[in-house]
Amino acid sequence: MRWLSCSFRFCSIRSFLSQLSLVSFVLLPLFFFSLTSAQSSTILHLPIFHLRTQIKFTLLVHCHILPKDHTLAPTLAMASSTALLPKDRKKDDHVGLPLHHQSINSDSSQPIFLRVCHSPWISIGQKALVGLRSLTASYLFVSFLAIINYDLERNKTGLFTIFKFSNIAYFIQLLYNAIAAVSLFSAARVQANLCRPTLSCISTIRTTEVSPGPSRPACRVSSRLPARTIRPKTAPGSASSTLLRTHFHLPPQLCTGLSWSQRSMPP
Amino acid sequence: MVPTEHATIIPGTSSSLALRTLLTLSGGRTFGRDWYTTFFVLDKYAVSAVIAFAEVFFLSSIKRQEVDIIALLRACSQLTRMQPLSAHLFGLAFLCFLYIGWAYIGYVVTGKYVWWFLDHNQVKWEFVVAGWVAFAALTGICEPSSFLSSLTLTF
Repeated sequence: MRWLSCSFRFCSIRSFLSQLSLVSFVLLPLFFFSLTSAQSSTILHLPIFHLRTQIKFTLLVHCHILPKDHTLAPTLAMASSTALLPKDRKKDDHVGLPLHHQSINSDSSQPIFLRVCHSPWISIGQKALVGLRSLTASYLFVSFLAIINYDLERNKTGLFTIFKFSNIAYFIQLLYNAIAAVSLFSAARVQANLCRPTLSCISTIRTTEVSPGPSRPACRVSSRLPARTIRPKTAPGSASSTLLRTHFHLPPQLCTGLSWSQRSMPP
Repeated sequence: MVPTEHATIIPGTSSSLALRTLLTLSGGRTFGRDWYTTFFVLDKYAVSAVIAFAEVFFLSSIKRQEVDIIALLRACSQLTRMQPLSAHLFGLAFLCFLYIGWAYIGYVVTGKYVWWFLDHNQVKWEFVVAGWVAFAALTGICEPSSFLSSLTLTF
């Protein structure tokens, strides 16, 4: 500590502060940029308890392993409406090893998006999740306005309001919830429009006899798709799909849906 | 050493310590003024935390990063995509220092310090630096993925 205090004594406070503010002016846009992209934000990687039901849920929904007794199948199959995340890649989620649909999407944005848009609880389906998320986001928005108004009108903090830690934390929470709600809503819309044949196909699993063992690849969702599934004209990595993504600003969820139906067509 | 009027939620209440704030919960000057003040304090410091916990436990399936040696070794070839737990904590500490820089910008703009321990006129410089480090460390400790990681392993 002695050498630290000596070094600080020799540099003037003003130059020190100016350097600090210079660095912050460069870095703060990076900070907000990292917040807006849900993938690269470090705040968003929060844990959950790995419930036993969640494991069964993922096993069933991703259709690699079905329970031998079909009693669990109806409720669990209704719990989620997507099977976008293949089971065998789940271990590599946060490592970010290249997935098959990363060729059309930027930098492994799929797993974290899917984790945000799926509740681990069976009783919270996708419809309830859309409602809860929009409710939370709207409440946070209104209360954020009320809090800022209180700070400005009653506390009279003025410009100091945007420097208070609690206000910044509240704003970041509002930002996360708004991004999650908007992306979940658009994903639900895309699923309703695009993936309906595939969803009906998932629900047929409940009534289908599934034999274990060597026929496990056969019980994947992909092999059960009817021929009328919407099929994109372009391969995922081709130039035209890149054009779709970059020039027409397709949301990544739509790209996922496209690549999913493309992948799931039998060769 | 802690100056008064620094940790007040509502100015004029002179509840500089958290203990005194708790003592004024019933009929004190922080609460019981009007509904807007009560809403301000409760929503900013309690309801937002409840919403965050509901988000973590009920609404999203986001999990803690894997601390896997093999995955680490495999990811060494792709450094930009590596996200182990240590990288997570490092990024959190980085954001904390970024906020401290923002707080000093706030001092330059408004002439007020956000926290009393950032003021080198009240405390020595080494304690100011210790305050920065303690803030980053406390955020890393209080962040849920740190103290819940051991709990997660039991499931």
